[in-house]
Amino acid sequence: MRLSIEQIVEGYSDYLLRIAYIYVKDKRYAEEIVQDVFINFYKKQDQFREQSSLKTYLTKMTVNRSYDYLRSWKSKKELLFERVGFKGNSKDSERLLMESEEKMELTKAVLQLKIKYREVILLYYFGDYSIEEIAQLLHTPNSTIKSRIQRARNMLKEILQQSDLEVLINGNE
Amino acid sequence: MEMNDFKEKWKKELDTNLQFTQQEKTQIINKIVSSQNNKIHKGNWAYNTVLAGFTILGLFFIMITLSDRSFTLNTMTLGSRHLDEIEFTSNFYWFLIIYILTVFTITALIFTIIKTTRWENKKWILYIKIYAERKYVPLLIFFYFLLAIPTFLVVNILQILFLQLWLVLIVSALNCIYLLWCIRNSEQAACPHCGCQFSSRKIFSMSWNAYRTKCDKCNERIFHSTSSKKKNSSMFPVLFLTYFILGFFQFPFPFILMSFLLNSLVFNLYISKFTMSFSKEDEPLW
Repeated sequence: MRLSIEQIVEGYSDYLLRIAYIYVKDKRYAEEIVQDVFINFYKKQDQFREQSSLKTYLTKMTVNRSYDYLRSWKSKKELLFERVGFKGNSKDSERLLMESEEKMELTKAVLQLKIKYREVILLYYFGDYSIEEIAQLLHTPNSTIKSRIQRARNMLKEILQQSDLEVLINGNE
Repeated sequence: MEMNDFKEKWKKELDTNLQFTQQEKTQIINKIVSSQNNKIHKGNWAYNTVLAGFTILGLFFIMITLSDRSFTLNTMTLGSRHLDEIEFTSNFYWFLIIYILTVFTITALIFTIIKTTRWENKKWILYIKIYAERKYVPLLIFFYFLLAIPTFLVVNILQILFLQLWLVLIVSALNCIYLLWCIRNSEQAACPHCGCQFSSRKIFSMSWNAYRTKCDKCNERIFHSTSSKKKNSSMFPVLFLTYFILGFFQFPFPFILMSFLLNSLVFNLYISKFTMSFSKEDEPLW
């Protein structure tokens, strides 16, 4: 049964917003990305052959779109301003979000990771994908994903220990 | 905190702090619907701009060249005198150059025909292959020696302008052979979606219409691939080098132009069928 676009937006927009946010670290751009993803999906929904679930398909689109943003001049400009010491608009919004939500400690810690570690942590813990699914989604070997998850856990552990959150991630997940 | 705790807490954290309001969701839905109703196609302006830029630049240079009388008229009327100065009027030198280039052209043509994979099963290729065997090489060399006699006679009869024309034609033929050599292992372009091979006419029309081309069979949109653009552009420097060399030796500009047009015609009508390849997505220029 095909869902209407209203149902799809209602069902997946928040989930995709979180995915995009973890990639681009900026709520405003994340919102734009999600909007683009839905528009593209709506235009090209005939191409969706239901070989994977709709959630996976939309996640893949969001990941690709987020990478497009990260490669774009807009993103690099923000990064440059941040390094030079200027606060770009987007970083303001990120800061505001963080300030308004004091309880975002774990997200802050995840955002400190490099993108390649951030994305595996995101897809594994937040997206509930298996290692094989992540490997397929990112076109990366299983072993690489495993090692990245392991390293990301260790890094997270260090970051969270520094911020008084006794962690975690030694576990058997 | 165990890993599962982290997972649950992080999810809860994201769920509570990152979400669209109902109003934002409604706005997204409205934008999606309006984007579908808005049928204006946003073209890829970069290609058109680059193409138009080069055309204008080309026209500009042609106009400058035509208005520069010292270039065109001198080369037209005084071309032979320039060649006098560098002592190329001697019939023997003309004969030597024309003869060597002719022999080289014939040899290159034979090699190209033999090495072209898509002609392997043609009957006429088999005949050429038979005569290209080692035991017939002395015969070929004998033929080359025989060729020297008519060449020498004709060179002595013709005026300098016709000798220049002859040489330019040989260079054009060499250029064509070079183009054929470049595509010796290439196959005719096919649709990336359904794999059907395009007809020559279809490829010709598509080579001049890079946008909004569709496969006739599956009706899917197709685009020129970056590799085909690179392949096409990598062939031309050699051709332009030959024109430059001809220009350097003060060959008449109309002859060089004729050679350029001849090679362009061959490229557009035949070579591009094999250099072009298509992709499903619009790829960047490089």
